[in-house]
Amino acid sequence: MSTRYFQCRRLGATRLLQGRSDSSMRNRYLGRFAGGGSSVLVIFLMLLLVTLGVFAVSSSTSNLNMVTKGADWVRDYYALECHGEYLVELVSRCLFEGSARPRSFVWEPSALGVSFADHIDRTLRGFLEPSYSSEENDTFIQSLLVEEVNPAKALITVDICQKRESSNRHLSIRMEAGYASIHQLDEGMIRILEWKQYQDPFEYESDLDLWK
Amino acid sequence: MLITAKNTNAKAYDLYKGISHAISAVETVKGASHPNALVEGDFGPGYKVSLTDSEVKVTGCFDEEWNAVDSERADAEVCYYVRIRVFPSEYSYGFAEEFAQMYQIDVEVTRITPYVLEKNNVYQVFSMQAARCYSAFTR
Repeated sequence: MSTRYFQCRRLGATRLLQGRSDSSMRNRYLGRFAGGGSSVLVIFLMLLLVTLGVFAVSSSTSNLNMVTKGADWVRDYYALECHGEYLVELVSRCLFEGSARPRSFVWEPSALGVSFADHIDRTLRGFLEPSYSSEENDTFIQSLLVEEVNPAKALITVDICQKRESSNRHLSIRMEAGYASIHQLDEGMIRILEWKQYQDPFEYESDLDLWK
Repeated sequence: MLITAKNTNAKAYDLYKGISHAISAVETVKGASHPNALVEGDFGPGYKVSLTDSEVKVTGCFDEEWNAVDSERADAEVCYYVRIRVFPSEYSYGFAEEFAQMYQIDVEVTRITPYVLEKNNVYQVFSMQAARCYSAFTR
């Protein structure tokens, strides 16, 4: 019985290879691929590839967007740092005026009896307020405080604010500037005590009701 | 679509590397006592420093894998340039150059090899500006 069965199968396979089998025989051997099955498989593969492609593009675009945000953050960080550096330049100017070329219209401690803190306060406000005070600007001075440590030394505290959509960013600077004493005006110095950037805390939208 | 995804991923990675190199370069320049004191050793391999009267130019060359490349070699396959310019700022108050001088730091990272199936030969990966006041009074 089994020998007869294998003989029949061999005969059928031979017929198929020789191309002499009829349609019913072909259907028996091709099975589900007959009548467009391969086309369905190709369409399925194409759909799979398109889906994977969409996922890949979506993932890479998100990746690029995230890194681009990081790049913008770095640019903003250094833009804010620039304002702090300008402040150092202004304070250096005050020290230079006191030490190198005291003139009647700048700081003359012995003649006017004005402390260095007063002089530096006037100078900083004169230069900073016209350009930074307006809140229409992207970056503005939020607070400026000049305290007198002694007649020849001042403690300067500045908060520079940079407006951003998500939350404002601040550069907080605290520096000590002045001379060793009122009689040693050739030894000016700036000591940076604090130089830090921080962001306002995020404010979550209270109107957004997640449960509706 | 898959090539677009590959290029976008490559651009994201290039931007990440460009930012890293730019920050490193800016902090190196800011850490120097004066721009004229900058030397090649400050920036690491792949960088060349050239000084003119008032400007310092630093150029870094890297291959496609972001490995440092010596641009003077004939077989050097440069893919990325990191260019840094340090020059006196035009926005400086300019009161006392001998005591305090504002310098502007411009950084630009470019890729000179086009991405797959793209035609742009020069692609700006990243650029940024920073400033530094070199003051004789700062301690």
